[in-house]
Amino acid sequence: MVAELQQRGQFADPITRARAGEAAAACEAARMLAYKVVDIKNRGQSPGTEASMARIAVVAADHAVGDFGMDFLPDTYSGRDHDRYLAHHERAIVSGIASGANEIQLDLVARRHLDLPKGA
Amino acid sequence: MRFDLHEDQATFVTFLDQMLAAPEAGFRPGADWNRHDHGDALDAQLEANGFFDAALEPELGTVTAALMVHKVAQVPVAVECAASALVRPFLGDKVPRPLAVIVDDAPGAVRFLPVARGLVSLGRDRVLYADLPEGAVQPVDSLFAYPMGTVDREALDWVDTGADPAALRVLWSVAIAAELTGVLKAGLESVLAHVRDRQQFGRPLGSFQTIQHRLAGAAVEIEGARLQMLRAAQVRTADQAALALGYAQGMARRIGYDLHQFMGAMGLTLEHPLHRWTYRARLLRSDMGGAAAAHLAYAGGRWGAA
Repeated sequence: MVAELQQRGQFADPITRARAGEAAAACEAARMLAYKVVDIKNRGQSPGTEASMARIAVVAADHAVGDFGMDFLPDTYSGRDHDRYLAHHERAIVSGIASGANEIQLDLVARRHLDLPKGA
Repeated sequence: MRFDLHEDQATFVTFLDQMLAAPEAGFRPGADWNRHDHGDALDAQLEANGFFDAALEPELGTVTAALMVHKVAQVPVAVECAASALVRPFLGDKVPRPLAVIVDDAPGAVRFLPVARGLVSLGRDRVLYADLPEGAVQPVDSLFAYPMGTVDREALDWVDTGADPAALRVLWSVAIAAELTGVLKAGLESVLAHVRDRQQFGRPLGSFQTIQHRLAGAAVEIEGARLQMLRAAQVRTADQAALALGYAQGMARRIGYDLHQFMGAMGLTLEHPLHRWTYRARLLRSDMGGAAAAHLAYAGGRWGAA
């Protein structure tokens, strides 16, 4: 997306650049949390709620990137010239729903990681 | 990429945790209901045992120093750790501590200045240092939970440290991210204890899903920020430091709001320590220009110009 904006001469605006940096930071947080799960598995241990934490961060990162595209490259989501943006957007929507919705992951983190009491 | 501590780091952290758990590092209302309580005893203990020199120890290094800043930020008393642990070791000739730091000559009161023995000025081209003569610093009242003060900067006797300004800027970014993630983590722990016990509508506050989800989201973001900060402390590149700092500063406003919201009226009083962490976070989130400046810095390094 940044390459597309640069090609168009539209990556000079500091608002656009800061939003790109913000999305990159969300991706980095998700990457670190995902690698932490891999590291735990690699040491023969069970990751427990760390896997849920990584899922939550991945969903946030997916949406940060998808929203960046929607906000600064809206034209690319019509027609078939930018299929990979469309594909990413569709995956980003699904990432918070499939294999245990984001809210289930939040429940797991709240109960098992933060030791918060069960609701009524 | 390794996420657990090696033996030397684990030993360091064990002793550090023992010091941080001591009663003198705990909460007591400040004199005259000040918003901060300077941790003189903890500061002296850390210095006497050489903890502020961890960054230069080959078996510990900047990752351990950053972890120390993160942990020291979690106690209710305020101790100048960030500059001492991650800036001072790289200033060449040994300078005294505690230290205060200004970046790009940003105006106004500076945290820890009333207890500092020296002031570091991080500029784009040079890193300057000045001793703080007796009586030079004017303490000022502040909303922030630090000892805050001002000084006539032009009257100080500045010397060029010869340190690499770009490298020091990276380390200071890591230091702020470490301290910010620490105070947010401590604030979160404080609120978690409250909502587990506080009953409302016949059940613990923490059993309500709306509270659970927002605190779980905060925990995920704080851990993501902590890991980014440690990664930045390890690789010490401008890009990684900007990513870590921007992420930490970006989440701080929303998390700070939630922590006070869920603590309720107790969080508004000086009888409870929550403000010790949230009113440090409120200052740290604007350091070096805040999240937007850090994101811009990353964009410049990662993708270049337009």
